[in-house]
Amino acid sequence: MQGKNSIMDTAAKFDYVIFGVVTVLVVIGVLSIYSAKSGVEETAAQFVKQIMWASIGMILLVVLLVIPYQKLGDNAAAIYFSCVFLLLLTLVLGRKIRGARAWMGFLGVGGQFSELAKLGVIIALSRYMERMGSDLQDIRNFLIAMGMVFLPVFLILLQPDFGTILVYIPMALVMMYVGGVPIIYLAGVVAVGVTGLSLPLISNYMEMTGQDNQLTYILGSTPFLLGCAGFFLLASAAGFALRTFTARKGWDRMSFTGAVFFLGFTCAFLFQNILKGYQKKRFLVFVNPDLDPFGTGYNIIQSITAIGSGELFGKGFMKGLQSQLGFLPEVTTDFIFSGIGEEWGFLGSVILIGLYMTLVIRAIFIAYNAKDLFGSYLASGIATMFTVHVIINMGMAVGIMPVTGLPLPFVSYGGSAMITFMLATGILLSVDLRRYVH
Amino acid sequence: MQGDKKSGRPQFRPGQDRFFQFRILVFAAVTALVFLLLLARIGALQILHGRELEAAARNNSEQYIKIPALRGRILDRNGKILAFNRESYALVLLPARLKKKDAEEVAARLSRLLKADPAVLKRRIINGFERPYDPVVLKADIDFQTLSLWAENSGRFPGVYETVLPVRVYPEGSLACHVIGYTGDISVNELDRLYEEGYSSRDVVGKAGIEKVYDMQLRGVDGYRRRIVDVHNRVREEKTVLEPTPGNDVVLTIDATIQKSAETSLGKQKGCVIATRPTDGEVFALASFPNYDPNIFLGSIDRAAFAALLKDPGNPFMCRAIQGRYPPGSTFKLVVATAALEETLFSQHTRYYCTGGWFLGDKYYKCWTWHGYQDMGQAIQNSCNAYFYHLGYDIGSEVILRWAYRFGLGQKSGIDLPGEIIGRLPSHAWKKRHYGQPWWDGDTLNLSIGQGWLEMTPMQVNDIVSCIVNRGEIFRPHLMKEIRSPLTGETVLPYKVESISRVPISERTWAVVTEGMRRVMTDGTGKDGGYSPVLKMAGKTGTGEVFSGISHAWFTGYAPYKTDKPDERLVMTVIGESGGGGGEVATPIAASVLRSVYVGEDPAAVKRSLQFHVESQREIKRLRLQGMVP
Repeated sequence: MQGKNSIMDTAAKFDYVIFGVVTVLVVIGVLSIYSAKSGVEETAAQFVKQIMWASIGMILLVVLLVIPYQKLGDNAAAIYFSCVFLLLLTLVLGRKIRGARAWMGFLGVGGQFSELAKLGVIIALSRYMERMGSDLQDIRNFLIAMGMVFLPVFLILLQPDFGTILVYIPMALVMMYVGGVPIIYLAGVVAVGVTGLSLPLISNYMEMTGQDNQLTYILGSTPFLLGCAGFFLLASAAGFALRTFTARKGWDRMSFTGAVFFLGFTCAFLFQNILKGYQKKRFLVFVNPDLDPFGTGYNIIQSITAIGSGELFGKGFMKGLQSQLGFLPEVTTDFIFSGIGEEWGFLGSVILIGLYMTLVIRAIFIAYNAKDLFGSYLASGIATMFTVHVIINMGMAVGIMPVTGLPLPFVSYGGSAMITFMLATGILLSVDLRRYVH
Repeated sequence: MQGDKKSGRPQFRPGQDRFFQFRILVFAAVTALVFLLLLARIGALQILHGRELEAAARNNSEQYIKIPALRGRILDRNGKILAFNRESYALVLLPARLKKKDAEEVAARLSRLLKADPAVLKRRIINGFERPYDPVVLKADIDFQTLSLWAENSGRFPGVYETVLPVRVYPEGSLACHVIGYTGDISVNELDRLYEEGYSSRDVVGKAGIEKVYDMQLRGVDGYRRRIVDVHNRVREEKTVLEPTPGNDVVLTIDATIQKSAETSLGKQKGCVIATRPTDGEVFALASFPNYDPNIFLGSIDRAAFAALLKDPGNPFMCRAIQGRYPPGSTFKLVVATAALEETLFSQHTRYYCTGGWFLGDKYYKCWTWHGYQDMGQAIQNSCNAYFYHLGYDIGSEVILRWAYRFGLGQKSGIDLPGEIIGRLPSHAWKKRHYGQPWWDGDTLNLSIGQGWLEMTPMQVNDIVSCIVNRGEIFRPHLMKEIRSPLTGETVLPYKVESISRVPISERTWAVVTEGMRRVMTDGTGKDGGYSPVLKMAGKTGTGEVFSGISHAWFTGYAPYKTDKPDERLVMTVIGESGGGGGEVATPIAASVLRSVYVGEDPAAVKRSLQFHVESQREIKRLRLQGMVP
């Protein structure tokens, strides 16, 4: 890379498509924010700020482009633990906004470090998986990898922010799948999550809607959950003992299944006993907004109405009725797609999704073509991160995903997210640039 | 994508691995599928249902409008209403009906109409756009003149309409204002704290007192009304979809009659009066002066009046019973006496000689007069400083401080009011930390008579006497008697009496201290000010001296002295801030309140006669000293 004509070299290999897509997305975002907030002077400055964030992000993107991405791998531990440290600091010093302690800053400069931590986890996990190679087949190494993901997830859950877990878990699972981790392990993680959430959710949901009966009560009761957890712990221990004494591999399966359900029931128990009433309620509303028809549910109804009314060609720039009249909540951040859908119609939606698909599929090909496994994992992680953000953000605007604070990449207003996405693009382009081996 | 194969690749390249290729392909395929599914959903919305949703959007037919729940009432123990809601006319803005660009102009017009701060009004309207179908209350409780002025020009105020809105009324005015508190619009800080409990940005919350502590009980659950409007914003149909649930009533332990006596008796004297039942901690009266009339917050807070109250040097918002810190003076001698009798071999019959003071080394610590030989009963009766200097020096500061802690000093009483302070219980370590000096014997002497660094709230002093009367048990003082449903009148949440500490006090100690307290009222420092042939009281006066300014007058005690029914006893504590001597200022107040409770006399008249008695006795003493009378 340090050749005489390295600039020409770089220019030739640079992925203009990704860069172009990102630029177009930023422009769409700025225009939408301008359109949505044109009426209110106090928030009109948002689009100016967004341009500023995008510019800062572009500079950082170029910086990451110049640095060989392997350098990130060499410093993976430092990057990861600074992210964890910043998350810890946020919990202590963060400013509480709307019930969550997510934002931290000094002298007016600051941000949501849970955004930046996504990249930290991607880098650290990629590095770890690269180092482990086929040793990842060993369940202990796999558990360490999961631990690396769950430490920041846990800190973010404490803020509390339930939405972010929806990014981290798919990200980690996809990266590990690409890395060749046995599917059964990944299925185990999913099983823990399903057991840990479904039982308390069913129990609490039935209770909240007044449909509770003996059975649903038992499903969420402490003796039942602890009993099951104990049973599966015993089963797991027995399986482990038998495996050790008989040296027959078949028992491994029993020990593994036992451990998965032990963890699942333990999570369910913790969910039931640590969360307070209002936290449970918030989680249930997060899953089903109809439980709160005047709060979150109202937002979704307004959003669907706005998007649907856009029809094929939309109402035109700055002519959206819903967003202009201020019926739409959070129209520059969480629900920015509602405004876009209304003003640009299905045509706009197709273009927007097309842009994102181009970005993501391109990122997956970068993973495919990367020089080394580290680059592949980085690119897969980043591709998943973009995908999950787009699907959940647009999905919630059309009412098929739970309402979370996940931003639409490059489009939603917000400095932390913009800079994180720009950095991610920088890493992506850097992997792409160095795909040839010299 | 295999096209970029180059020769001479020395190391492993992921793309070469067939399994890896397969996994990446699965990844890409699944991702593409997910995107297409999302697109399908959007297409279904925009193309298949586009027409109907378009129509819905044009009308925006459905609106949810909040119906505020009726706030619960606050009642005294006999059911007398201390706070309720009155219907009033209010001007309200539905932000959805106001164009954003007109907001500023309308805010300016409104501020002229309502005589309100234009900046505040403007901010409230701008914030209102976040949830356009939640009405923004511009001003509650407007008078008829303003209402008609608005009605004549309603066309110039788009989105503004009039509605009937409940406002909080405190029918007894300033009575028990420090207990009841007041309400107001939720502030940003409060919202951050309460957001998770289901509060939102246009709520009214309790700002002080019971209104604040039991806000969750009082507020109820807001309801919603669904309104269907047509293209021209005409209401087609209106239906309540969620009935508001009214808040619960809070029944206090306060007895309005006793409270009124206490406030009358306190009069214009800065300070407070506390009356509690020692056997369960119920607070029957809690008066603090200067006070305020919570009705000034009626509707929305009147900024000028509020600012004037805040600037008042008398600090009317301070509840002196739990937020005032004073040196306890001689009332603290009860703790020292109990400590000596319980923890050491000291006998109540031991006599010390008072020469008008006591020498420690070459420094003479003064008593307030010459007492001669005093045993413990006499020392309590006459509040002899010399005796307690000597006693404190003998038993040592550690013993005194340990017992002070047992009596609840250096801790909150735990009463259900916000903002209680701890006061200050010094210690050797504390002095070292703050002054860099060890604890001197002189500090022990000052501590023995309740001076020095010791600072207590009147509620803590009250707890000392409650503890002695109860023979060692302190119950958490409380103001909530029960929480009652306004619909059925049933008790939703009764108060659970809570014993917070047990101090081991023997029969002997109890007898010595209470007899001493009785003698205070018959022959001692409380004789003149607490003269009451009709009611046997026991108590202790105190004069909390301060470095500069007038001393604080203390009285703490109880009545009746002997009774078969301890439930009918009241412990009473009075402080007259900068009032002077305890016997002359605080004791008449306490005695008049207790006499009005037990004998039914007029507290104001009793207080006047007792003050006259104090003055005439003082005059007689002076004349006797001059030899003018025998």
